[in-house]
Amino acid sequence: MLTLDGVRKSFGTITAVDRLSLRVEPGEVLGLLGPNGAGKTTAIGLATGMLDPDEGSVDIAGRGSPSQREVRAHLGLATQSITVFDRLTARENLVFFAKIQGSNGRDAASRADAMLRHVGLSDRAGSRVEGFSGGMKRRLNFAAAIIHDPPLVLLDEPTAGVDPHSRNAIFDLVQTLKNEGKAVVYTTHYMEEAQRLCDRVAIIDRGRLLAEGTPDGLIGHHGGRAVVTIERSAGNERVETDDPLGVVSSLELAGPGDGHDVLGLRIDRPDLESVFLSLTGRRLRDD
Amino acid sequence: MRTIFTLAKKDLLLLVREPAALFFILAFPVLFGLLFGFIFQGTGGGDSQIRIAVVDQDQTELSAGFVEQLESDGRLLIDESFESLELAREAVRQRQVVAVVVIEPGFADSVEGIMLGSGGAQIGGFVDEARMAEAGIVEGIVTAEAFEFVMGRFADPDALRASLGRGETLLEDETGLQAALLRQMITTGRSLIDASDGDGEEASGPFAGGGFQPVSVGLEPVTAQAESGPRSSFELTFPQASAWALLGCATGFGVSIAGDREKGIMRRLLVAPVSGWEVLGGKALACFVSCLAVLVFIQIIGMLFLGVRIDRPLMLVAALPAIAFAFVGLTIGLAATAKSEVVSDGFIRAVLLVMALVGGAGVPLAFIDYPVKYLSHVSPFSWAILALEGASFRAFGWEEAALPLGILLAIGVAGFTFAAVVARGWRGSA
Repeated sequence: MLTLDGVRKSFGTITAVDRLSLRVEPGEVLGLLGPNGAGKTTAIGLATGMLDPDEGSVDIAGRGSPSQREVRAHLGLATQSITVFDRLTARENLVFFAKIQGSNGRDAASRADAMLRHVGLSDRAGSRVEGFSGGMKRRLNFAAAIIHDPPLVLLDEPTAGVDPHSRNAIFDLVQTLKNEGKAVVYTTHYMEEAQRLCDRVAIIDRGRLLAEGTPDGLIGHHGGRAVVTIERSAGNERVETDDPLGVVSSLELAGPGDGHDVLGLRIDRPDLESVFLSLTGRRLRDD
Repeated sequence: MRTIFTLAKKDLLLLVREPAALFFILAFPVLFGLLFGFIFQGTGGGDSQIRIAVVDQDQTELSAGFVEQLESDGRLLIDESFESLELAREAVRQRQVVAVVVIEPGFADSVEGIMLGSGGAQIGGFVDEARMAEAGIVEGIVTAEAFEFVMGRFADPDALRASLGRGETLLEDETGLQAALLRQMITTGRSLIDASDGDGEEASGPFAGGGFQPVSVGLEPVTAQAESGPRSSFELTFPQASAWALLGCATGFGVSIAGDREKGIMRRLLVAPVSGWEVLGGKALACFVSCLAVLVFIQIIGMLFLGVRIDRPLMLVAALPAIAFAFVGLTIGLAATAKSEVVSDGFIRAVLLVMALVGGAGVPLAFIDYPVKYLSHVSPFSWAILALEGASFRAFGWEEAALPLGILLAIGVAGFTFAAVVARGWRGSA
C-alpha cells in the first residue's frame, strides 16, 4: 500500500532521511519509531507528498507519488496537533473534511454521521468543538483523517497528551482500521503502544533505518538478555540470563542473618524500549 | 471550484461565529463613521450657512455696498475670491460653492434708475442643478437683501438727493412738456426730502407696497462634474468607515492564513486532494465576499440613515468589487509570507494600520495637505476612499474614476501574483 524506496531528503547540509526504504501492506500496522530528530516527520512528509524526495521514490497503492493530488485521495493523515475548527460543530467539521476529500453534500453528511458514531461523539454532533475535552478533540481529529475511508492511514503521534480513556478509544480505532484491511503507519514515542498495536516496527535514527521487524523479533534480536535482580541483605545481585525462571528456581535460600537471605526478586525481560535504547543509545536528544 | 466554495463557506462560517471579528468589521466602522461624522459636522458640507460665490462685475461703490449687505446675512457664506465669472462658474461645477451671484455691469445705474421710476436691477448667476432646493433659498435671500438694500437707499436723503441731482443732469438738454414735468417732480421730491430729512422714517410713497420688485434674481442651473465638496460630514466619514472595515477584514483573514499554517490545518488540507491554489482561492473568495458585504452594509447604513448620497450609482457598483479585490490581494500577499499567527498578526496589523492612517482612514483625504497627500498615494486605502468619494460627492466621470479603480485592480493583481508564487512553496513548508 505504501512503499518508500531508497528515499533521501536533505535540507541544506542536513540529511533528514537517508536512503530509507519501508513498505506497509494492507491490514498491517507499521510502527515508526525514533528519537527526536530521527527523521520520522520528514518520512511522513515524504509519504504524504508534502515533501518531494531528492532521491528514491514513494508510491501509494501502486498509483504513483503522493505529490499527485488524485493519489493523495488514498491516504489520511492525523497529526499530533488538533486540526479541527473550534467554532464549527463536530458534524460541520466532518462534513467539511469529507467535502474537501471529494464527497458531495449528502454523502458527506452520511459519512460524518457514521464517523461520529464510530468515534463515540454522536451525542455531541451538534456541539461546537470549542467545548470539547482534549480527548474528544483528538477523537474528532482522528475521525476527520479517515472520513473518506482511505486505504492508507498515517497517524503521527495520535495519542500525545491524551487521557487514558481516549487513548484506549484510539487504540480500538487503530485495531478496527487494521481489521478493515487498512494499511496504518503509526509514529509514537510510547514503546508500549507500538508493542501493543504494531505488527511490525521500524526504528530509524539520523534518517537511516536501524532495524525493522515484528516487535518480538526485534526484541529477540536486539533486546539483549533478561536481567534477574536478587535483593539480599548483604547487597543486590544482578544476573543477565536467557532463562530467568531457571535462575530464580536455582536460588539457594539461606537463613536469616547470614547475609545471603533473599529479600526480593525482580525479573526485567527485554522489551521494545530496551531494543530502542540499545539501537539509538541513551544520549538525550533535544531536537 | 467546488473545493474553493467549500473552503470559502467554512471561513465565512468561522467569521460569523466570531463576535470580536464581527465587531471590528461591522460595528466599529459604523461607530467610527457616526462619531467622526458628528465631530466633523460644520467642517464638511454640513455647514448651516450656504456657501456662495459673488462676482462683482460692476465694481462701483453701490455694488460693493450690496455685497456688504449680502455678507451681513448670516445665512450665506460669501466667497469673493474668484477673479472671473468663468472661475466662479467652474467652482459651482466643482461643487465648491452652491451658487454664483453675479452683479453685472450697470447694477448701480439700474438701482439709481429705480429711484427715477425706471425698471429694477437684474442679478444673474449660476447654481448647481443638483442643489435646486438650496438655490431657491439663495434666490430668496438675495432678493430679500436686494429689496432691503434698495429700500435703504430710499430711506437715505443724501442718496435720494444724489439720484435726483443725477436726474436733473440728464434733463439738462431736454425740452418739452415731459422734461418740464420731470423737472417739476424732481423739485417737488427734493422739497419733500428736505422737509422729512432726519425724521428717520422708512421710505414710503409710490414705490412702497406689494408687487414691487426692485431687483430680480435669476440663477441658471449648471451641471456639476468633477471633484466637488461633500454635502454632509458623513459623506467624508463613511468612506473612512469602509476603510476601517476593510482593515478589520484584511487583518482577520490574513491572520487566519498564518494561523492555519501554524496549527497544521494547512498541512491537513494540502494532504487532501487539494492544491495550494485552491486553499488560497478559498481564503480569497471568503475574504472577497466579506469585504464586499461589509462595504455594501456600510454604504446602506450611510445612505438610509445618514443621508450619504451616491451621485454615480454605477460607479459605486464598479468601485465596491474593485476595492474588495484590491484588499483581498493585499491580504493574501501579506499573509502568504508569515508562518506564525503571532508574527502575522503583528506584521499585517502594523502594515495595514500605517497604510490606513496615511491613506485617509484617520484624517479625511480632503483635510490632508501636501506633502503628506503625496505619501497617501502609496496607500491602497486612499484609492479605496477616493473611489468611494468619486461615486458619492466627488461625482467622478469614468475617466476620473479610471485612475483609482485601475490602481485598486493593479494592487489586487500584484497581491495575488505574489501570494501565488509564495504558495508554491507551501507544500514543502506547511
